[in-house]
Amino acid sequence: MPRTEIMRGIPEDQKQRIEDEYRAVGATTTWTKQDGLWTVTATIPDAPAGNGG
Amino acid sequence: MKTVLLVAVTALALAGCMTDRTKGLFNPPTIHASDDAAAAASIAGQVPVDQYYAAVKNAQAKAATDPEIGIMVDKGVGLVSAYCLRWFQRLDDSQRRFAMQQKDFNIIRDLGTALLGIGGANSTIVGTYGALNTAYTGIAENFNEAVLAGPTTAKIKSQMMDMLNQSEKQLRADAVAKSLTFTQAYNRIELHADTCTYSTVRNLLDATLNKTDAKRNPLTGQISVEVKSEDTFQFDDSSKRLKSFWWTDGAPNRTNEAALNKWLAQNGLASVSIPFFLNGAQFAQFRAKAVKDLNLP
Repeated sequence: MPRTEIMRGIPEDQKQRIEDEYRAVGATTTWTKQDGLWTVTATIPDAPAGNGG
Repeated sequence: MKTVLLVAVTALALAGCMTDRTKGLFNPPTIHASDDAAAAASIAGQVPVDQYYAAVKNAQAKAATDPEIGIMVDKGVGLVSAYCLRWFQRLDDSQRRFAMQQKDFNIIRDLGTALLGIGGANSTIVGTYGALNTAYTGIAENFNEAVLAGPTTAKIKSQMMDMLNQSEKQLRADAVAKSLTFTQAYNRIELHADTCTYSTVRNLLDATLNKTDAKRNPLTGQISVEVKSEDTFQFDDSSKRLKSFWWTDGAPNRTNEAALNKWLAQNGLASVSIPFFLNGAQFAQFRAKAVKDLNLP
């Protein structure tokens, strides 16, 4: 079953690192910004590379 | 005449009189149950009930440290588990009986529609048939509304028994460590019994649904479900150490990644991605444990 993970309150200087991490596990991400902080919505496919479970 | 007969047959079907043939075919008999109250199986089925009430009687005048309190807790836990399992067995039987009744009714309804057309039945009979039809549909909807009976029953049962086990362990531990009085133990057993209820199942389902998103493909009509998790950002010292373990030389170390995923699975976090685990506030304590378990510098 695909999973969606939403993480709020991400500072600007952490955005690229988290993007790279999600890419490493085969997820697709969308980013939105509110009050200077980012929210990432990551969709992880059924058998993600980053989590064999 | 045919329509009157039709209505009578339909009423019989609704009353379940036409489905007795299926009795006993759904599941094997339960080992502690029998239609004959005097049978050994029935007597055995009554054992946890009798033992618990005997234990209550023995414990009620005893001090908190008396072993009889512990025995009452033990028998109470046993009775709750027995009742809960029997409840799920009855639900499973009901689910299958309902499916059979629905099949019978569909045949009768199709036949009835044809007969009403041929006979040119008067409006009263048509109205009665319609009312029965509506009533049956209502029963079906109510039954589905109950949610408990369905393809997910086995999963619900599994989750319920897990919750009961957790509650049981805590109750047994407290009975020993906190020397519960009779009243405290009695109330705790009632609270424990309250775990296996319809409202708990509803709460369980609601919590599960809140964690999922359903989508329907407008072209194919196919429904897909996604698990949805939310958290706020927190990147602490344990996060840094875990990240150093996961990424070496600027890229994921797949061997260490496998080890980390194995740890997640072993700690009930199989459905959590590594980035979410590293950066989510709710996992702070788990991260500290992971650092310790994996002996990370």
